[in-house]
Amino acid sequence: MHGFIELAKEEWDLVDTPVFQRLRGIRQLALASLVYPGATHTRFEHSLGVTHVAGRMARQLDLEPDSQKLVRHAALLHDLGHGPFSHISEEALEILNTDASSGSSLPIHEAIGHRIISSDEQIGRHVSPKYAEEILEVLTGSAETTVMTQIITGPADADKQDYLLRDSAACGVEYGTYDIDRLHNTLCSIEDKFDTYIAFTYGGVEALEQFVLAKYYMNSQVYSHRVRRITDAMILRALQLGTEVDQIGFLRDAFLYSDDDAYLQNYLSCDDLRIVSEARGPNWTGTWFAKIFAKLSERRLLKEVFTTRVNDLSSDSLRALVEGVKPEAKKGIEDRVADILGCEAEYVILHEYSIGWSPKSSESEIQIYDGNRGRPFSESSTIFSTVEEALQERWLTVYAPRDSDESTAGRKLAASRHDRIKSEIETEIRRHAGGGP
Amino acid sequence: MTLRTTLLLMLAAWGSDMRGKTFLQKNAYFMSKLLGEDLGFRPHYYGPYSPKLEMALGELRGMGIVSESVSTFGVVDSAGFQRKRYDYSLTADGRHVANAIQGDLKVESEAIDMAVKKIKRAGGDMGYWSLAVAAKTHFVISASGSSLSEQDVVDRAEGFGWDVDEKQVCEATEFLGRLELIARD
Repeated sequence: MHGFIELAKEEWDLVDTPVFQRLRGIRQLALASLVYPGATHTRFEHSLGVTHVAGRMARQLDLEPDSQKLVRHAALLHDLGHGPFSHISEEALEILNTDASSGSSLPIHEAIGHRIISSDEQIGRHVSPKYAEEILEVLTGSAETTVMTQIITGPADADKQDYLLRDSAACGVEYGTYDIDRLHNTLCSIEDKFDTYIAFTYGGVEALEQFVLAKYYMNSQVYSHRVRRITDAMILRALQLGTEVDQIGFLRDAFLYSDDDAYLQNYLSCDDLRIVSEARGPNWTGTWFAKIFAKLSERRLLKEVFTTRVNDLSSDSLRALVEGVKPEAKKGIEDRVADILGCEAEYVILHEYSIGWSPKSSESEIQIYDGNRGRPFSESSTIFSTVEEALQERWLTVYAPRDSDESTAGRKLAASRHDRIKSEIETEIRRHAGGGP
Repeated sequence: MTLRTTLLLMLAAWGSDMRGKTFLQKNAYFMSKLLGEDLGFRPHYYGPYSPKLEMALGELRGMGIVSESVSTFGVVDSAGFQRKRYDYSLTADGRHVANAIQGDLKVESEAIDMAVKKIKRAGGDMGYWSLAVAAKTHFVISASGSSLSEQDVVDRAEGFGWDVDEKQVCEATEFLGRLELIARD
């Protein structure tokens, strides 16, 4: 991706630890390879790429040598806490641990990553406790200067810069390309008496717009691709049912969070390969976990049987959705749709999503330096608002087993089912909100 | 009650357009202080800012409950920066949803209503810049946990990267006093 990447000796030492090598077994985009066959790249090479990009940014910003080193190390280790199938594990951890917390304000997977950095024995051979703390300060935003954190996690950070290009190349698309050299060439910092922030000179506005568009197109065309959403939802359902219903020991050990070393070891023993090989092995035959993974392995995927923009639902349903779809409503909807389609409810999945926007990555926080002070990117970009609006649109979909029938009769049946499903969704949402049918 | 619901009820209580992101964020900040709720505000270049509130606003827009309209004021400087303001109001669906929620969550809704009325009476309809100064002033005083002079506030605000002067702080403390968020000696 970036040509030759150079690592310092201490960086190689970190790469050679078992906990870093584990990242070779965690795919960046889970089972997106079922859509884009080349998307088999892993968190391992992504972490190396982020290190390289972060190092470039730190040099461009003329940070002190020690700060450059610290930023590179933080970048190298930033994804250590990822679980099997990357972001799907994050969701699984949050769903399966609603009564637990990480003990801090961090999401569980981030707390796991931080625990690895501060307490893994192999990492500890190359990183002193004090230095581990400094790395965590950069990752959590409590470092001496904000600029170091913004290099790793911010609206135009090294993480995004790498994964947009990498995912785009691996998937064989052009959507995620942008002029990274121009972006870095216009990178600067704004200083006041006590802190330093990342900014871009006005000449970088077009490169930033290209970057924002790359993110939008990758979100809408790749990350939110219908089949990718379906495979992600199926993996999540398999992990959830495997843990809660099938009560599979190694899944419970890995996904029912506990803030101790034993849990950490169980968690680290899981990567994509282990999950898939366990699912296909003899131990769990007949479980939902095995059955769903069999479907994935044979590409017998669920279909999108219903989809709607949330704002196309009735006002009464919108009222309930402001508080989010409650778990009981979700279960009720899935049961009713299963009845309509004549299938098992475990294979029916309700999914609420937007194409992809979060405050952590909002471009509204990017600063453009006008020679005097920082100004919001939105004041200098004409496309920003349009893209932001598209990213925020919310959708409600249902995935279920269905044989496709493209005949006229089949299409009529699908249309009438669509209306029935919509009606059932609205009924269940209102019922569980207290609105009543 | 989710942040989306809180924000929706605030917009309903406000009644008219909330003019500008800063205006919305800072009034939400004061409302959160009056209600004793943590809405995720943290120091930011433009004063206390809540990314979670921004996200909730985006989600309500994505649901078609809140509308955003953009006003531009032409090129304002030689660097070519165009000043824009984003105004927010409830859509027809949004007003319907807010009415329904107000019926279901009477206690919470009335608390938000009272907080918004108090902010408006105290002068919360002032310009966004004065609101931002007031929010910064309150943030600095709260963070210190002790009595501060106007000069102290100016000095400590600098630590957050905020550039305010004594006159602005004086006006801000009058507003904060009317809100009963601080006691003036």
